[in-house]
Amino acid sequence: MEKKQGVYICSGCGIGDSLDTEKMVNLAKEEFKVPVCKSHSFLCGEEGVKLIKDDMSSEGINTITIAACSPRVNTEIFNFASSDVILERANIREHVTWVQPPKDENTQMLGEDYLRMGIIRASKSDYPDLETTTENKSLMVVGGGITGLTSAFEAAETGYKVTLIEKGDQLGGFAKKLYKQLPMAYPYNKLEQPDIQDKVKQVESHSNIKVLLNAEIEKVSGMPGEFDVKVKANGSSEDMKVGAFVVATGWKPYDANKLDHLGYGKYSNVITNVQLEEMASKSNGKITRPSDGKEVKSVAFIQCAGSRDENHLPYCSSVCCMTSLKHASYVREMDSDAKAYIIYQDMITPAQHENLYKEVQKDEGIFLTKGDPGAITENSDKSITLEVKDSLLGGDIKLKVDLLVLATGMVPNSPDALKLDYRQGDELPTLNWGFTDSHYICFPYETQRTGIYTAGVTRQPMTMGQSAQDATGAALKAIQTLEMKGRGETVHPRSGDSSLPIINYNICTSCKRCTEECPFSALEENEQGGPIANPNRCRSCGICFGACPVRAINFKNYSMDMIASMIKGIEVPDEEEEKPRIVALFCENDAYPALDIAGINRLKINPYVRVIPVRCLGSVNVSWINDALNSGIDGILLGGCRYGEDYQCHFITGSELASKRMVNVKETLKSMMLEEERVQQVEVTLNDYDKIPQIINDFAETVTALEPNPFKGF
Amino acid sequence: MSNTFLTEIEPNLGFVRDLLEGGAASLESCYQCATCSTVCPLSSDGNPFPRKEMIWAQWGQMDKLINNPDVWLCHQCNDCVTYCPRDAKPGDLMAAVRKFSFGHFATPGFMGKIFQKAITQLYLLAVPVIILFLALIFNNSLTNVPRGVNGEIVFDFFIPTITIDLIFIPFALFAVFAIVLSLRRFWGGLKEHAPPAKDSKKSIVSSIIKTVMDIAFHTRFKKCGTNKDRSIAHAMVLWGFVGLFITTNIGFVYIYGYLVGILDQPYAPPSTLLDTLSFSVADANNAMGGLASHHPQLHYTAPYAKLFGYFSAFLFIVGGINLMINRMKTKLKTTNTTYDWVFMMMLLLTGLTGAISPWLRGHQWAALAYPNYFIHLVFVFYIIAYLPYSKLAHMAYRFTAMVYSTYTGRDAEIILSEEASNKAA
Repeated sequence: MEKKQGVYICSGCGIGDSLDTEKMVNLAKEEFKVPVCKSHSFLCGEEGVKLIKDDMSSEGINTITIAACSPRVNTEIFNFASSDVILERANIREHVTWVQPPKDENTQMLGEDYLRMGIIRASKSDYPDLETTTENKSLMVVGGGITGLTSAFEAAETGYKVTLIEKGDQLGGFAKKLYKQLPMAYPYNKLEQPDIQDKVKQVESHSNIKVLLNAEIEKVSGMPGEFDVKVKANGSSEDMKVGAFVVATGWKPYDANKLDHLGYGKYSNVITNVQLEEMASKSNGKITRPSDGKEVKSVAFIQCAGSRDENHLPYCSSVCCMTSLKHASYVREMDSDAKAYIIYQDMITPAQHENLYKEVQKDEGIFLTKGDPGAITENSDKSITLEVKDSLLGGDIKLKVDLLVLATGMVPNSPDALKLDYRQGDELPTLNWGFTDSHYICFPYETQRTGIYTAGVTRQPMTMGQSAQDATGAALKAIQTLEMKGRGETVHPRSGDSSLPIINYNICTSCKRCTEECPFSALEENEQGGPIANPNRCRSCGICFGACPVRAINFKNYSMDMIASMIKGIEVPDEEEEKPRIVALFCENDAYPALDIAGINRLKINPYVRVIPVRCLGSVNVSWINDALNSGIDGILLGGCRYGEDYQCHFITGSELASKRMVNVKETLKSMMLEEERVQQVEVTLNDYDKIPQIINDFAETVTALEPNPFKGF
Repeated sequence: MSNTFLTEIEPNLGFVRDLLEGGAASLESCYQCATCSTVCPLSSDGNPFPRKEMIWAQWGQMDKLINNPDVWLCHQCNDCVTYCPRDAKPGDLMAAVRKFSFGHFATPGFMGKIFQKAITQLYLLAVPVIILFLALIFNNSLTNVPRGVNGEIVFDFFIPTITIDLIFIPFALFAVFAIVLSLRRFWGGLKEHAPPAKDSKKSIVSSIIKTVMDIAFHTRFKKCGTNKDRSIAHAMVLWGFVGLFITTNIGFVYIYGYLVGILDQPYAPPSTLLDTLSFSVADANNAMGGLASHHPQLHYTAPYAKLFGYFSAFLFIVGGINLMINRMKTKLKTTNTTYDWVFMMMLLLTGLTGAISPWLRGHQWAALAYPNYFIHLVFVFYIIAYLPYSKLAHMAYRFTAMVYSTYTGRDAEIILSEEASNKAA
């Protein structure tokens, strides 16, 4: 496709009052010889859009640069990009006009540099080829409990074929053991009859769902839309093709044998909450003592048994408090003179479950207090004496009860249900305590494997009601992946992006950095150790691109040459002018938007900084830093999302990798006899917008204090 | 601080149910946030209330609650009820515990039980009715009551004052005896369950004096924010009651003083002020129950005593009505049980029947005057004879608890919750 460039500069929103747009039009024409360059006072209006559209049809403009507002806004108005048209945006509003003093020399230079970079970016960009893959649009749901059942049902109702795999010989999961369930409907204050069998029937009778019992996955290979799955069901293996997964493998109770300090295993009348539920279910509500089978007259519940405890489970399992309230109700229902004591750390009944707490509290035979369990001893009649320290009654108390129940927590089932034949391992990555990692605040059922979603307790302790919601969300996202990858588009966070990494095997040295560092295991290895792309696994973040030491990977619309040229295109004044130049590589996920918000709030920023948006700090190739320094740029600031234990990087490891690569950069700087402080990485979150000016200005001050880059003017 | 090791806790479920029915229906909603204790202007740093009372109530800890002076330091200002985020009404719980205490410490026990319920209390009015009826029969005044020398109504001819005294005084003495026994047990219970924290014992005499002054001036009561009006109304009732008690005793002195010959003073002519109050020699004589037949002259202080009596009655009635109106203010969220209303009505009716009695007598409306007088005596009996068991016993228990509190240094400083008072006002 032969490119014909058009440049459009908007002078609305105060741009015209701050910058000399006519001068900029001339610059575009003279420096870049663009065939068409126009300015308009209201480019996003009907007239402005028509102006561009007319040029497209009459002049054949197919490579457009719009120098106006941020690329994050007005996308539906400036929607010219297509398989034939390239569109790039230069942000001269939020990043220039709104943060710099108007009609100032430095402001003008800044605006012109942005124009330059925008024109260069458009000229170096190429439109990605849309790869539509032969897609399988069926789902596989792993796990037949409430989460799996809901996911399968919801997907099936939407019209997709689902295969439901269950390890056991029955559907229903843990819910089968319930005598009564926590309320799932308004007003959320009455225990309900378990309705899991209704859900099982729904799934079994649905024409879009195929159920495999006694089934386990032996291997999964391929990519979304083209997963090859080997399933062993009832002894025989079967091969199938699947489009996406929802993993709902659930949980098992914490091993109470580790809680002997609370009497478990030592005394016969100490049981767990799971055991009580099973007992109630089998005996239709009768709670009896294991020692002699008599109905209990008094029961004590110890909450957080082996939970929120560094020596056992450090986290809260979120349902045990409500479950104990439920169990206390069982005891009281059985005998209106029986007593139930609940000893808690905190009574955790979030959201609408507060209503259940308020209702259960009204029962005068249920006694609640905060307190720490102390010594637990068995009496001669096998009843249990429990010490409670620091109770709310004012001091330590002793209770004598027929039965002691330990409210134990949930442990997620192992994340290796899929046996992924992926270069980076067969398990779904976990972050803490065996729960699959997603980090995505908006779509928590995301995982680090594209097309594979986890729902329910396997990813976080939650109630059955929440699991059902989770399952629905996961099914939706799985369907989205099927559809979008079917169109050649990637999913969250770069939803809709069709660009894919292109590997130049001629220069690839098989160093394996890209295959190792890809957060989504999208690159397998060939015999030589070089990368094989699996396009449907890819999220187009560019971390592979940033990793490659020989720059063998590029995207059609995001290449080494593109960014390097943009950097080199910045006009660097001579050192006498005393106008340092700083390049800020800010990731598009949080750092760039934070800058936009700073602009919206009209905060003032140092005028020497030129911001280039990058897909992720992980996609920053170190060679750009060399290019910048060689061009006479005095300092390079990398702004990206937070990394570490409570990471926020939208591509999981991008900013962390960038910080690791900075070590190499420091070496390079030393070899170039340049100061270490010239290159810095900062962690920026969206709500840091008010600190942005400080961050940038501090860096600018540091750089200004140094000698001007000796490479200027070379 | 976990410094007290309690023995095995066995919640008394029956006790909890008693409290729930005795006016504290919302007590289970408490979740121990302690807003109530923070807001209470009468709660001290060392022994705050009513949070602990709420959990003790929820856990059926009867002994701790009834042997707890803090329950009596509470003056039902209802700041806690106003601010409780759960609408658990701690103030009502305190009231319910006090009510239960009347029953628990009652001597004899069965009387306490009868007085726990409004209905059974009212049945006991039959006792004075029957006794006074018998007195009428004995006096032959059931059908025909002789009039005075000028045709005026003389209550002494209806039921002789001496008969009344012969009936009421023994009951009063028994009541005093009973309440003293109860208070002894109460004090013993306080010592056991709420021992003094350190040797901060003041002298018992100074504690009593301090308490009397506190009650006289309602020092503590006035600190209540939400319910300020109640403090004034209650002060009126208290002072009215005291005044009426004094008046009665003055009358007693006049009657038996003359008989015995102690008092024998010349009568001073009525002034114009007294004239307008329809005082006449005849009236004055009749006021003394017709004993003018024994003495032609009345003590010159008698009219002033009568004025004092009227003034006290006025305070008592107006204060009482205000207390009733106060209870009806729904914004205060108090629970008003039948038991509460019965108590108030008893006192108010006593005052009203007493106040209109001279008016009915003065106008010689016999058909109303005699029954009114009868009813008045029935209610007076209730007040005196049943004092140890009815809500009136609060005079004794609260007084004792306040003395104990001061004596053991329990309320070293009461936090003057200015903001709470101002906000609630």
